[in-house]
Formats: sequence, C-alpha cells, structure tokens
Amino acid sequence: MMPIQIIYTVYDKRGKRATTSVKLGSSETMARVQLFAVAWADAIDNLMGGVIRSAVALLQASIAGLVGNVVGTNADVEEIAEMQFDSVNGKPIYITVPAINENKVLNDTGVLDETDTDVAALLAALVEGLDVGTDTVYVVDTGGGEVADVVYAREASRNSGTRKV
Amino acid sequence: MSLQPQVTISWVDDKEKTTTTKFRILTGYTTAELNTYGFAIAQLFKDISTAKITDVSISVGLDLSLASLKTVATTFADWFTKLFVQARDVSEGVITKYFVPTFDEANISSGSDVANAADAEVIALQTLIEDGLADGGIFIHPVTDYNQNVDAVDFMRENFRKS
Repeated sequence: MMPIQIIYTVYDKRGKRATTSVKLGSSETMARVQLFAVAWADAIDNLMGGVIRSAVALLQASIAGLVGNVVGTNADVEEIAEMQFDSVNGKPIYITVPAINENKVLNDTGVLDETDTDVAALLAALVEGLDVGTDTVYVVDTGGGEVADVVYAREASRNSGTRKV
Repeated sequence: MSLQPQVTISWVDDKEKTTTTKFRILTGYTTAELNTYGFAIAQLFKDISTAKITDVSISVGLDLSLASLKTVATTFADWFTKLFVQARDVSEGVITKYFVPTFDEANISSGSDVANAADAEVIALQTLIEDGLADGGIFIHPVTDYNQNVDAVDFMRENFRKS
C-alpha cells in the first residue's frame, strides 16, 4: 500500500497558500500519525515565517483486486446516477456515480432499479453502513450526522468530466 | 473542529475524461479499517458504473492543538521562498524531497544558500527526518514513496518557486 501522507496547509503574510508534506509507513496507526504530525509541525514551524492552518492525513486504499475494473464501451462520466440522502440531523447528503450502467436504471422512469442486486448493495452500504470486520463505517453529513434514509436515486446528466487530452 | 474524513473515488471514462465521487464518513476508524473500507466501497460503486476507478483516497483531519505554532505570519513570510531538503533511504538509495514554504532566511549560513548546520532548529528537523520520533521505544519514521525509512539527509538549502 502507498505510504500515509501528512499534508500541511501554510499561509504567508499576504494570505497566499502553500502546502508541504511528509510520508509515513502505510502500517502506521492513526494515533502514531497524529503524534508525528504534531512533532513535524513544530519542527517546520520553527523554520518558517508562515502559519500552519491545518493538516490532514491522506490514505490511499489499494484497489489492485477490484473485480471488473475496466472502462466499458461508451462509458461517459457525464451520464451519472445522482443520489440524495437525509441525515439524522436533517441535512442533505449528495453522492454521484459517473458513467452509470444503463442496466441499473428502470426503463422509462430514469430511477435506479433498487431491486437490482448491485444497486441494493451500494444503497445498503451508504444507508446502513459497511461492515469492515472490526467496525461498521457510516456515511455522514459534514456535521457527523449519519444517513437516515434515501430521498432519491436516479439517472442524470451533467458536465462533470475533465478531458485529459 | 475539523470536518469529517472524506472519501474520494477517482474515475476515468473511455474518452479519458476524469471525475470524482466524494462523501464523508465518521471519525475514529483505524488505518486498517479505512483501507478495508476504501476497497470494499469502491467495489460497490464500480458494480453499477461502466467507468474505471483509478484511485481511492481517504483524508482525515489531524489535531495540531498540542503543537506550539505561531498564529500570525511574520512580515518576511513569503510563499515564494522555500527550504529544500533532499534525503534518502541509504540501503536502497531512493531519495525523497521535502519543501518547507515561507522559509526563514535567518537559518541560512552566512554567504551561502545552505541551511546552517549548527542552527538548533535546523538540527531538530534533520534529526526528526533521520532518526524519526520516539513513541514508547518504537520510532515513527518518515518514509520514501516505497515505504522505506528515510535515514540520511543529503542537503538542506534555500530554494525559490518559479514565478
């Protein structure tokens, strides 16, 4: 797996933003990452004139074994599934899926087929949480409120893609 | 208060257009749990999409309240000036680079662009890079892109952004 990257955001006297980072071993615990982040921040702060405003730890999950992870013919990131959920705090949570498989959409309605096994599995993971063996991971709103229910899950289109070439 | 951790799934279609799916999760999970979740949730998303997943990352906000950080930038603080540190994993020879923005030129040896090796603050950073941070007898080490401990600093010198 990729190393864990700690990224600091720094601002200079004019409010211009820069970042600086350091990497730790992929097997490190969050507690040790947190401990090191404070020590590194102190060390570089003493050598800088700017102000450290925030720090995040960036983990990259291994996707080496994903099944069927290839680009389908005519796959288009602008043809999306858009899903809205309500959190327990009453806040909306929006999640989109690009290049939605048309086989997952009900004919003539544009609504995702919730009887489809794959659609049902994704919605269950997002609404009820996903068991990772030692805990269950829940999707939340920005305030930490867990998902309460699905409001809608439907096909849509938008200009969402950035062309690389 | 930092925001909840954010999961970002990166996609590409058959015209090489790219996009992302983003959402937030609860705090408090271990790195192992986050890695397991990243893979598992990516598979569920992939099962209803015809695009290809190119990356899954999770960003977790860190608490710096225990650090003794300045709260106001100095008058000389300039994003343009950096400290460039090159270090390496001696056994494999792989180098890694660090850039510290708004570098304070008071830490430079007079008449050169090299960081002053006798400066206590320069020594502190070099020690942290080469020796790591002690945590109950097990050191936390910076690593290269290949997960190998960085254990030697080649040089530390002033550098500037391209304008």
